[in-house]
Amino acid sequence: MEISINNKIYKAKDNSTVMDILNDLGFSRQVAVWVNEYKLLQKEYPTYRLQPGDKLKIIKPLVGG
Amino acid sequence: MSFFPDANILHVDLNQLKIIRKTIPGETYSLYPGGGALALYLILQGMGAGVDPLGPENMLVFAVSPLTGLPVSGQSRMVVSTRSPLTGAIGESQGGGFFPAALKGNGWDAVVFTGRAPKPVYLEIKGSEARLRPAEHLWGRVTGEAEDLIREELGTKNIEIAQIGPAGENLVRFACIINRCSRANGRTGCGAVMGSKNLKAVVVHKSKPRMPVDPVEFRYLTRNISKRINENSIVYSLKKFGTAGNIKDNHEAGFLATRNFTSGWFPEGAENLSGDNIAATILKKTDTCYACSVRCKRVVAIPGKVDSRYGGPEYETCAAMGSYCGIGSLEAVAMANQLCNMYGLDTISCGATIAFAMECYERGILTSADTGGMAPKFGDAAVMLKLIEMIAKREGIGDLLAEGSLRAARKIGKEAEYLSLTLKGLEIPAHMPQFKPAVGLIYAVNPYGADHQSSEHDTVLTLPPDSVEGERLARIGFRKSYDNPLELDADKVRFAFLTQCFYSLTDTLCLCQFVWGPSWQLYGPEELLVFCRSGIGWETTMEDLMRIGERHINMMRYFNAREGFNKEQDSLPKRFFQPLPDGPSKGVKIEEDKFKEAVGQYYQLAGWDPTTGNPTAAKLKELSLDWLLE
Ligand code: SF4
Repeated sequence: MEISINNKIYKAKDNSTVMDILNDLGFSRQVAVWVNEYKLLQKEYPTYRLQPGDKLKIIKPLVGG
Repeated sequence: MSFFPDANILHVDLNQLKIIRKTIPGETYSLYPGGGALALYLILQGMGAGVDPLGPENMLVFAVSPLTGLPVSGQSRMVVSTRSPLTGAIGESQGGGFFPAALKGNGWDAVVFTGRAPKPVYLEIKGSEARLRPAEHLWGRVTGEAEDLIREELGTKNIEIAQIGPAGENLVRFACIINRCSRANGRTGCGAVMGSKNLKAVVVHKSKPRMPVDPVEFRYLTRNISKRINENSIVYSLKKFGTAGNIKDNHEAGFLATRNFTSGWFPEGAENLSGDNIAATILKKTDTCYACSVRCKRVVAIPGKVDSRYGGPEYETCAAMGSYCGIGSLEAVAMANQLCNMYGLDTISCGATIAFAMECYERGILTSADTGGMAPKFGDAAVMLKLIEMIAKREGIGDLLAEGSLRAARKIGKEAEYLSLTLKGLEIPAHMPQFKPAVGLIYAVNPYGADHQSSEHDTVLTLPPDSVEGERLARIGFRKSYDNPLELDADKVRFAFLTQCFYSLTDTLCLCQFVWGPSWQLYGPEELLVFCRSGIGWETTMEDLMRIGERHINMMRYFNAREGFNKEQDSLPKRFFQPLPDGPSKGVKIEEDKFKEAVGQYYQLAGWDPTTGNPTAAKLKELSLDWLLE
């Protein structure tokens, strides 16, 4: 199925959860995720199933150093 | 009261070349348990207002904590405090390595220097013994040479050396103190104070490792350490790419400070300066601080140009020597890092001051008549490298720039002061306040000037409230997640204040803020309580620990008030209130009115006088600092 991630088209496996996508992209749980502008709780990452056309925003916090 | 150890203090009177030992009882020490708080306690007890930062009356304090040197990651740091020759305010600087653990291993919590030696000396500490040795033969030597000579003279490699380079000897106002030729107590010019005292180095012999009082509970912190690191992607990235791992991401977000903060967008150089490019090209190995499994330190080498003994560039150095100056050459940045570590210069203030000079030149405020024929333009790596040497040696235009960008601007006149990106005279680190307004607020109110490690960064607040980070922040009293980290509302001010107290606590306990912190770090508030209890038998609470952090901030602020500082110095440079011109952050700025309002809200939270911005008598009493009022 086709979804978009940070405004770019992405081909994901059908029935993918948010966690599946994060794993595919090499992200850890330490990111914030919005699906269609709804911000998920972290506990939803493994269970939230994506639909074709969903728009994801993923933000990795850039901290100090 | 639960057990708290006494503090052992070494007082070195350089006028008389005399050393005496003093003890602070545990009951008092527990209020100022190390680092910046202990140093301020000693300074406020021993030094009046108005001393010349580069005069013999200024006190210079090296301080560690009762936790320093215990066998867990992130505990080998030392704070150096003094009246800053760069800012005139309290100067404080934190540095890591192996020196702090060795100092505590010898039984010392702090070393206090007063006076000025008639001739250059260095201090040697071996267990309870301490002696001053002549250092005339070391004066003028770069750090690597001096280190070799000291090892040869003492006939051992089993020593740790914290020293100044020629920049400190030449009283460059942003000279630093370096150990292992690569770990700096970098900020606020403590190296110049050491130079003014004719003190070249402090040498400590290594000692037996310290052990926790409850090894069984302590193991909770250390077992499965690799798993703990691997499961924390931010800490894992520090291990893999060092602090420079964030260069590219900051650029892509539009907030990599570029060309003296005129932009946050550096397409021509960000990729080159990034941690992954360092790893792919010049990285020789990684390095660590005593007992730390994170190993975030980079060691780089370029045959014939960069010697690995001088470590490798951090995020801040890649930005200050790179993007601030419009320079995208990693080789040039690695060479600049080496020069700063050889001469003993703070890379942030040095890079920022050079960027300031470049912008002055490009705008015609400085001309080749002022620079001795040089043309310091953004992007010119050869000029940047030359200027570092000239600053360290105070040659030509380097003599002016060695004063730091604010003093230089005031001497240059015209509109140069607008181009000095400083807070209280301290050059701004590479985290743009437009991106991180809570950090910007702390830049403004922090007693020793703009510091990126004095509070948590706004960006962590995008993580959902049920994340580990959100739960840790809740433990110190903050519960809110943000969709837009650029916001600056009353809750953000509270976040800034609470996390500043926590960071101030870690600067007191001398803990590394990549390992111990209030949110994303390897260990959070709960683990810190375990560390205090199992490490030294200190039964404390999170409320007491936060109060220690707050007390430390108030002591620094009280010091500043004595020197005439007030709310006038608590504002950001005007540039941050102008919209950014390009890249993904185009148009972003800080709203000046909102920022002023946030400063007022901060004073209210801190319990400070809103008309002066200084601690009230009631606040000082509440923090058991009544003795300051006597
Ligand atoms: S995380 Fe890095 S700076 Fe901190 S103690 Fe470990 S090696 Fe040192």
